[in-house]
Amino acid sequence: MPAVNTGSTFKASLLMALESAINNSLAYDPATQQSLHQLDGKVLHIACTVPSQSVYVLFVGNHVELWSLFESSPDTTLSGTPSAFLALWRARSKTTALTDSGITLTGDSAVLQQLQQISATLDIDWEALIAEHTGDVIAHQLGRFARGANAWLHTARREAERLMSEFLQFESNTVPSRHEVQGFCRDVDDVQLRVDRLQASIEQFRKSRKS
Amino acid sequence: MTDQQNTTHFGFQQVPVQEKQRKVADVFHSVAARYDLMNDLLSGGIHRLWKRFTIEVSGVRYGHKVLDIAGGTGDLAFKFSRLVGEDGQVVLADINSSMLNVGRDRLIDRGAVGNVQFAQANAECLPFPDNTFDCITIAFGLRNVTDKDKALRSMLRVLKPGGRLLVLEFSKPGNPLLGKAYDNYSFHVMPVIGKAIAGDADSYRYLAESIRMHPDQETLKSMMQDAGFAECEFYNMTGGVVALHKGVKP
Repeated sequence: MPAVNTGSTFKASLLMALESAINNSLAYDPATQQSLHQLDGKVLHIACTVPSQSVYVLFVGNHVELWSLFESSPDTTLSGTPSAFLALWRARSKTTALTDSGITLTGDSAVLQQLQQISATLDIDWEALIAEHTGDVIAHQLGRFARGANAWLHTARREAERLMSEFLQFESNTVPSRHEVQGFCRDVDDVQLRVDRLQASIEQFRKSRKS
Repeated sequence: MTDQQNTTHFGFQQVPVQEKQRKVADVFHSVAARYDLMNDLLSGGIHRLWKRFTIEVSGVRYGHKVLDIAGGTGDLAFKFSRLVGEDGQVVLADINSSMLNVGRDRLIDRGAVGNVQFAQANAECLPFPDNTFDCITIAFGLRNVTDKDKALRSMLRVLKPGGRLLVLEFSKPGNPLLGKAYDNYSFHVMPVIGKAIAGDADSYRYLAESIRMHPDQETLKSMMQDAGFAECEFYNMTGGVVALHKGVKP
């Protein structure tokens, strides 16, 4: 049997750095760390289709491990393109996120649901993390600035989305409004239903004439 | 390995078989205190990636029993102790008491207690019942063993059927240019760093020499097959500077 050249030292070092960053950050959110015990022993396989890359996320006690290889069957596998994973990550509605994103799930979906629940309550105390290096006063100022910037960005994004939507729907009439689309869909469904009924009536009429 | 006068190699020297074990022990007594620091310095930290890959290939899961031979300062044992959980068991074994003491202290300091046991043991005659372990690892230790064939047979005996042996060891680089650079580094840089940091150039010269005397990838694979292991294969890492051999007990 020929030697297998792993050639993945770079990937391994990247995963090691990422794993270390995740676990160090989780140390500043004890509640989430505690919640991770629910997933103890579970393995999530994230398979990116283009480019073809795999990462195995192992939940061990209150921390996570990122492996490039796993010599057994993972509990859950998620496969899709990078953009699909990004869509899943950014999805607002967690209930429809998976179907909307184009990700394929195989195995135990409970692992993903639990992980989504845990990540929804993620609250890392970044201020405490920064304070270890800069002291409390500077960390607090930086925290205030970051919270302000985040709130401003959030509001600005929502406002931009609203303005863009109004412009496209009402000013330029490029796209229909949500209500128009919903009404159109209802009409199409109605026509479909009527056609089905008509077809059934014709069939019934045809059968009665034959007999 | 052993010639007609019952000698064996100790680095590039030929020494009586009975003396090799003592000489190897002296080397590791000398370097034990600074072993981790030296590993990081000499490998540029890459030894952590090699060990990480070993863990990934091990297939160790919750509840498994793992034996880490020549476990030294407990890098692998620490990871295994987390993976096997409270229902599993990890045995950190080393023939050298100084290395074992450093490893035990480090594991206790890092909170790896409860499922880890320590044993001062010779790999050639492991003091465990037959069919005990799901996985055995020996990282950077096999080249220091006097009778490697006997050690491999001993490991096979204590493995459960279906269990894995993983041998992580320095090997032969595939690229001649890399091999040349690696030789220069091993024989000229390593002893100098060893002298500067650990105050012991001879021990690090021995380490470099022992690597050259160690069987290459294909030879070690044949030795594992001869010992009775099945599905033997090896993974080259960092251009073959290090190789991970895997074998399964049939």
